[in-house]
Amino acid sequence: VIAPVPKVSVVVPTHQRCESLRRLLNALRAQTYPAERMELVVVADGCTDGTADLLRSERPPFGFRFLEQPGLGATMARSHGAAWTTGDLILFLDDDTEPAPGLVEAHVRAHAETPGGAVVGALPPVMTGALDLARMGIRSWWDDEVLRLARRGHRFGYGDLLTGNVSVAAATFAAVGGFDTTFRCREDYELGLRLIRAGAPLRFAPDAVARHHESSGLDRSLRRVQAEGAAEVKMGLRHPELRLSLPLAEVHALGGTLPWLQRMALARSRRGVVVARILRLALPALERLRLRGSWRRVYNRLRGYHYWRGVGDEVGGPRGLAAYLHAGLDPAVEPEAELEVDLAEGLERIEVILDRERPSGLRIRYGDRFVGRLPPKVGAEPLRGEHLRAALLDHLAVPLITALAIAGVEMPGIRRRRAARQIRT
Amino acid sequence: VATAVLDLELSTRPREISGLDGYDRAFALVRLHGRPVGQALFAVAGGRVAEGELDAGLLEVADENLWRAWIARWMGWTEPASAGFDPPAASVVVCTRDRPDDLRVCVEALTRLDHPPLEVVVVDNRPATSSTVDLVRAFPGVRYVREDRPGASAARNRGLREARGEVVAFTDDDAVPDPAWLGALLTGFDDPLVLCVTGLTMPRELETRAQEWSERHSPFGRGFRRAVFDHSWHDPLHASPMGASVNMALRRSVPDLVGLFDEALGPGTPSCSGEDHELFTRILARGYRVVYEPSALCWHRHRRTWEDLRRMVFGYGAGVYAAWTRELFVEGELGLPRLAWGWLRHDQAPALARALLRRPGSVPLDLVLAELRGCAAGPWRYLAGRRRLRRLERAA
Repeated sequence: VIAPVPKVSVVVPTHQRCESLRRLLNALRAQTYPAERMELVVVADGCTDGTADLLRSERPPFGFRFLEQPGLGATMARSHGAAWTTGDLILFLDDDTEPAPGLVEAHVRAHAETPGGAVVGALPPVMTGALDLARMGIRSWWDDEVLRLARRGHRFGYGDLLTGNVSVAAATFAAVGGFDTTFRCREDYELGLRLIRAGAPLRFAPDAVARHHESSGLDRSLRRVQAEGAAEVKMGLRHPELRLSLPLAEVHALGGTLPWLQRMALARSRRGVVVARILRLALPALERLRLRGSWRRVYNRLRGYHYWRGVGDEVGGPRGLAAYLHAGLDPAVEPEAELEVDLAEGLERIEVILDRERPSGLRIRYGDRFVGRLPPKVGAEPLRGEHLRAALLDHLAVPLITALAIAGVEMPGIRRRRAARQIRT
Repeated sequence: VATAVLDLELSTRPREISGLDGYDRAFALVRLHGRPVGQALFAVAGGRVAEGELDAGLLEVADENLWRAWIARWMGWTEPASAGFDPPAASVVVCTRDRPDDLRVCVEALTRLDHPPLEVVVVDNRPATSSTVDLVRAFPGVRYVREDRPGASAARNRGLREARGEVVAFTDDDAVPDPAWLGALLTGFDDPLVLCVTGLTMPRELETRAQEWSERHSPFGRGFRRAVFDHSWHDPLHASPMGASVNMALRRSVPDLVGLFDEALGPGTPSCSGEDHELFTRILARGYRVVYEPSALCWHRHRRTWEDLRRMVFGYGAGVYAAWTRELFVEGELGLPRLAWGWLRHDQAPALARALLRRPGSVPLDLVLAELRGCAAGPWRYLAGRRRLRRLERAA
């Protein structure tokens, strides 16, 4: 049971970003939440830029602990920091974020409404330095991420848990076993999956805002894609039921054919490395000539290269991938049950049923007529009432209209034509 | 021979339409519960659109767009769908020059908006008479600003500076916004990368042949489907699908993020038009977005005489090429020649051929030629506009 004014432990891993950290500390000092109900744990991971001196001289108005570790990565740092917390909620913030004054309060409010779960806050990007095509793309990605989560009726998947600005009920975090520290990347997704499996509610708090100062560019984003390719393989090792829904399983669906460069990446061939290097060198020239279409084609090819290079490093080539995917074809995994509902009973009633039953998929009828399915989604939260209307609009609008028309629900345009047809016959 | 303009609501549509004496056709905006979903053309006989004709015309409108709108309403789904979005405060700016009769209709419509703006600002551009200031005096809520630098771009830039709202919605003095106009434009701003939202513009009247051809040749409407434009899937130089300045809202931060309207472009300068499309291009090229939101409706009165239409079509060609001249030489957009070639090859040359062969339904030859002459003049007119701007700056 969470106290009426829960204690919030903020955990910040940091690596060589002394100035960002100072900005973050100042923003935490300016929080509207009572300081005596907050604590801060900063984990300096392999910092040699004076971060330790800064932290040693800090005297914030809330409980403060400062830990050091020798360059073990952000996952270890977060995990290490979380172990030292004493609060009811653990709030993970990245060192490049700048929380709005109401951030902590907004997280607490969201937890009060849905206790025992995780709350994802908004991370709108602030681009530091010049904007090129690659950095515009990074900004758009973050922007779209916030919009996607904020959309009414959004159904959470494990990939929606981003650790830049997320809070988890401490008891739940402990119950699922915290982060898997063998992941150096995508550890957040992996935690998200276990939270969803444990039935912990996930939600997005649009008012929990921490702007993040984004300094990555082209090369860092390509390295990141490569790390994600490797992490995805690991994800499927840890959770075999995910394996066939991972992007890398598309090669399976394609009948084993990948574009040449991606095949070279998977096989870790020298020729692939050379071609990738040439493409990388071509990008700035294409950008200078303002040939955006060509730039994008080359860039996407490079991203594909790095993704498959990450996969290849982890599975050890095409054969390894085949073996990996075949092991995912496990007939023992039972298809999840779908609930059958009749929309003629009224949307409100169905929504109540969904909130009670939390099915993973739906078979939808309108009266006698079958409208369609909302198939179970691997790694997504069970359906809630709130998801129904958005899902109908996005996936089943046309069959639903057909069913409504046949059932005789009054529609403009349809009504008159039926009457006209009757006159003619 | 004229076309009546109708505003048809599907949910309360009549069995037939009468009282259209003197018209041989009717053009209708079709709405569903107030929201524009399509347009239709009917034959008028004896002042009436008969029942069968009405049904057949409306059937054409019934596409997925209509059904989605219908199902959204059936489910009680309202846009925007973002949690925690509050529409930003908006100023409305109308730029005008000595057209008090048109302006009165426009400003009266602005007092009837469902979503009232923070303020309405009338920017009077180099007036020759005091007619505008006299008119504005009759509307106590409306602010009057005088801008003596010539051109719509200068007037709009002044409007951006004067406005207090976070968003500045622009319309023209010869346009009449629908009551839902402003509210619909503002829904597009739930994405912080969106710097500009444009809306649907329909003809207010189609009384003359010039007005009909204006709507056929260069309609302001961009369809009934919402569209988001981003440089990663839309070429920034291809600006015309993004809308037009007669019906658009900008964030007030636009000047800081991508710059002002180019005052060497647009109405009231030698290049005649192109300032809006040039700004849309810059918005996309800097990684921001433009949204086209057809629920934001306004009605525009097209030019009545053929002479005016020809001048407008010439100005359209000149504006496009003037704006492209800037893109090529100022912004360094080397992809432009290919785009210009594509326009010539796939659109202008076939139109010219059809006009020369007098194919049925072809664009009148003088309009095709006016556009081509405009294109040829555009680059020089842009340079003339820049020279004039420098002269004005020196004089100031």
